[in-house]
Amino acid sequence: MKKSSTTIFWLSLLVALLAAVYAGAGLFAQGGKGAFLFTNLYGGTVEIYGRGIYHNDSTFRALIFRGTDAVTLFICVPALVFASVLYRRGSLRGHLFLTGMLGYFTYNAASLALGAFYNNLLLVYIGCFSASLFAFILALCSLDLSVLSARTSENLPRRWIAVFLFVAGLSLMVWVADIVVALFRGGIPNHLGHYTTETTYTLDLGVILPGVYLTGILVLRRHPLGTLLACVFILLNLTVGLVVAGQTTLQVLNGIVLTPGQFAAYVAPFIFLSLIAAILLVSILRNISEPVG
Amino acid sequence: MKLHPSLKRLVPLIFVLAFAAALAGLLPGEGESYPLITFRGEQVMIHAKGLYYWDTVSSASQMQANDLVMLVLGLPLLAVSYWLSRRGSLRGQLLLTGTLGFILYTYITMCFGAAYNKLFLVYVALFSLSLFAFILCMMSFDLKTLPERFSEKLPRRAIAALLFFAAVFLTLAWLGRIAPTVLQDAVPPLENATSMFIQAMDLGVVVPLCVLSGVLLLRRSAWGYLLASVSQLKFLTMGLAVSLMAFNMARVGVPVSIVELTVFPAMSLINVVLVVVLLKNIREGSG
Repeated sequence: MKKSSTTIFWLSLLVALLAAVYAGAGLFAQGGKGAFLFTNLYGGTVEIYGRGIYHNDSTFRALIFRGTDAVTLFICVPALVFASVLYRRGSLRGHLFLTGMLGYFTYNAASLALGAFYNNLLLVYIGCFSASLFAFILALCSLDLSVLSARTSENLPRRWIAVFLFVAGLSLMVWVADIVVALFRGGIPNHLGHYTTETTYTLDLGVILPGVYLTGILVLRRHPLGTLLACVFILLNLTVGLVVAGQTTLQVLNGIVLTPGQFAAYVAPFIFLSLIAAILLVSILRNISEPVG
Repeated sequence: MKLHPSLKRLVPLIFVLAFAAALAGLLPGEGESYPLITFRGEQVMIHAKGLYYWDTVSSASQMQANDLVMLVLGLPLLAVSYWLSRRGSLRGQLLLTGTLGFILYTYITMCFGAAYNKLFLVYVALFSLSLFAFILCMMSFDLKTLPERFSEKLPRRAIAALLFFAAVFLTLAWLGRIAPTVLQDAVPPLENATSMFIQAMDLGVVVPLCVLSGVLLLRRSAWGYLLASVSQLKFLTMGLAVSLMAFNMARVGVPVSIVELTVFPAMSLINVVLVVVLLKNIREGSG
């Protein structure tokens, strides 16, 4: 059994601590004058949230951030701690699970460090982004791919995994559609508001989309790196469904009522994809054997 | 050490897109800059011309300085180093990786820091292409034989010292802007940017990498040789870009701190000397 790295273990716990701090503050801090309207550079009207950590963000994005914080705090932080403990015991599945969770935290902390309006937690976001990025790279590079290959069962549903990744990747093309519409109509994307640019579009189109397709191809080619990266992206997809559920809950709590049409278009598909992601993740982990002792 | 075959497509594509994007940024436009009070009550000058229409005068002058460095140094180095790498040169491969690092950093900052403009998707494509090309380059070095390609005379301490100095300087300069405002519950000067993307990238990625490269180089680890030489070669272009940014800001009348105006060019000059020493101390294989 390969020894687990203490650096990865302690970095992961540091990530859990920093994330608990920013997600807790983001979710619960509520002081401030409340929402108001602001005219942006382009002459459009933006509703500013005006409360808590995200007081300078638009109401649209502040609710997204807070919904994500709820999932980060109550589900992802405990999952990260659990994964770190499994990893420390030398479990291969634990290693895969931990790598996936670190991928989530790198994405989440980068989104806040680069995409949330400047607030007092910036240094916490940067610290968490840095710790999770380096822990993620270490976890990715330290997994012995020949061992993973040897322990992966022939029954791994490679085709289903690849099809799922291709479909989930395709859903990111809605961002491209938003920009192309803006280019033809002249002007800015729909939800730019008072922000400099679209952070989520950059991360999703620049890293996640090519990463997901590359992973699908590697899985079909039976490359063990495909199995490892599939865990990362499927886990990320699983959290997207949870995050959408969290965001919807917060919107409802804030009195924003979704019509059944909106629910069917913006909420249900993500939760559906998330359920399939959960099934596939369990299936991958079941098809990886742990030696006894 | 073989280059990954995908680079044959990635590098020319990066070259063409970066050439177009940098040229578009430098094209002069019609318009008169105007003052604006931002959402946070800060007064800024909106550039109001050319591609960087919605950026501030300060930010546009920095992006244009970077565009110029991309055209006159970054892209020629990309072409030359790619040609050398194809012929199996280790120096060429290190320079290619470093130059891709510069292009990656540039388009990360354009993606997250330039006010949304028509080239947004081109910036995202360049960020993505150079990220994957950079990873492929990093993975193509043979770490087992790498240390023996460097001569014993390589001034590892001097290189590590410059890396540590860069880490300390960036940390103090950027924390100096953020920390005091956190204590006073105020907001540091941000112009009209959403947040501090340069500080996030530098403190989150560049500073830890500088420290890590320096420590690993002193320990003679293979990763140390690789990371330190790539950092040095990346800073060859980046250093010129940052120095030119400061001068261009001063030229258009934006206040620039005297520390940044002197320390960045000084660091870049020392780095140029160390790059020459580094390249002299690499042995090319016979194969």
